[in-house]
Amino acid sequence: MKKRLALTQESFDRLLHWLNPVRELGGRKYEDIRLGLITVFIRRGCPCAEDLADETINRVIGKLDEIVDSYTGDPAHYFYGVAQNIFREYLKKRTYPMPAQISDPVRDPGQDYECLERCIAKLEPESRWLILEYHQEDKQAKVSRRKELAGMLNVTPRTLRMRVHRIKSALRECIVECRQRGSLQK
Amino acid sequence: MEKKSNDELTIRRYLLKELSREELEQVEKQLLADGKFLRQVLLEEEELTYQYARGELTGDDRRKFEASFLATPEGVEQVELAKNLVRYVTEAGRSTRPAAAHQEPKPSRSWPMRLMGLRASSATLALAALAILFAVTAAGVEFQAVRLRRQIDEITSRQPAPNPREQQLQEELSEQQARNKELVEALQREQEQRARAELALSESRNTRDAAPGNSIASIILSPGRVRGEGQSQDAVLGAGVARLSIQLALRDAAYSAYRAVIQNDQGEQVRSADSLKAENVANRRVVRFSLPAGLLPRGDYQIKLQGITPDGGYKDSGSYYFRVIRK
Repeated sequence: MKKRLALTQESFDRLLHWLNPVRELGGRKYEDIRLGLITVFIRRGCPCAEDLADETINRVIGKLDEIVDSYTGDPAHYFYGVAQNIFREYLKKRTYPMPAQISDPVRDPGQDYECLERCIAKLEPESRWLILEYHQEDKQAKVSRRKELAGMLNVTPRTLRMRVHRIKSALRECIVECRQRGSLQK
Repeated sequence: MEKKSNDELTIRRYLLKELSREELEQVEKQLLADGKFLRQVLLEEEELTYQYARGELTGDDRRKFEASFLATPEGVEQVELAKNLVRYVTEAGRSTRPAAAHQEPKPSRSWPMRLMGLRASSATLALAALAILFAVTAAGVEFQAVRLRRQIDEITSRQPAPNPREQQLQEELSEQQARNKELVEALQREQEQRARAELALSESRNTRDAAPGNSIASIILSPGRVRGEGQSQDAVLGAGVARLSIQLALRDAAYSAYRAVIQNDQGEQVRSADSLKAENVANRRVVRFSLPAGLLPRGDYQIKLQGITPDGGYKDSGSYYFRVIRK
């Protein structure tokens, strides 16, 4: 069963304030830390990376009263220390392979491709064009093509990558929803 | 080959698990502390995935990528999406940019047009009216034209010429604004997911006598030390049974929460259920949860129950056995 964040509004506000007294900046830092934790756990080969990341945040929230006045330094490093402990515990408990996607039925690759087609069709024309053109070439031709695209859109290559990354994130979410709708209908 | 920065090389080595322990710790700390670096890692991760999907990774790199990325469900899903997208792009071929989004470069404006573009104010409107008069009576407006030219030169000299750095900053500002919007949406989504999960949990508890094809079977288990001891129950799952509800009698009620891990007779985990609270049912302390019947083919199963300690650790709290019979 997926762990849920033990977030009450009050504990969340306290956490954000500890990360940065300016709420918007605290919120951004929180999202970066959470995504960073998930990335660290995925790269360490943990199949339940999101659960471990949320468990890390839960523990930090639990310790907030103790550390908020005494801790000095970047709060992100404190999260890292807690994450190290969580990972060690995970390794000790792990005696068998964890199930993959335990809440999902066995996926049909054909269905995934159909979902991708439908989701691409839903994109704005400009986004659809961009995602197609970004991946058209390979190797060195790809590099030149992407510079050309950045020039056409009047953005830096980095900004172009971010835009494509966002389009792909939206596609991923759309495909998951499409897949779930397809499972319910079976 | 495009020259890579030191950061990009470090990130690639990180993703392919080539870093030393000290380097790894440094990179992981930076992942949490530096949002810009994190986004760079995610972009490189995506790029590497697409290189793999296109068959551009070979030899050692390919092996390292597979060992690193195909070890988790998220990595597998990422690779599948990349392969599907590469296939789609190959089949779709080149496309032309949509006409509506394609903007022609604006022609440079003459000083009367720049004048008209200035923020509306009573003084500006008056100047615009004077500019029109100039076109009609040359002599009278000439003096005004000279004055207006001086004002325009003053305004444009205050505005710095656009430079690439400014452009980049503008783009980064737009990026940040988009991220702010994503942040608000992400928080809202988390709250909605929580509400949906609570509703689903409440609905599953209330559902007892559902329509045919959606019924629930139940078993009550007591702990046994080895297979054969205790009471191994049979769970009969007919075609219409959607879920199996399981009640575990607690040997001791020492913990506030429990975790149940269900294994098949090969020792493979079928499902785990976390944060189970002990309840009183008919004067016994029990924990309860349910499983989709689809996860349970015919065979023998073991449930390992673990108490969750205050510091988040797990302690064994009993094993339970049951057999699924399919009808």
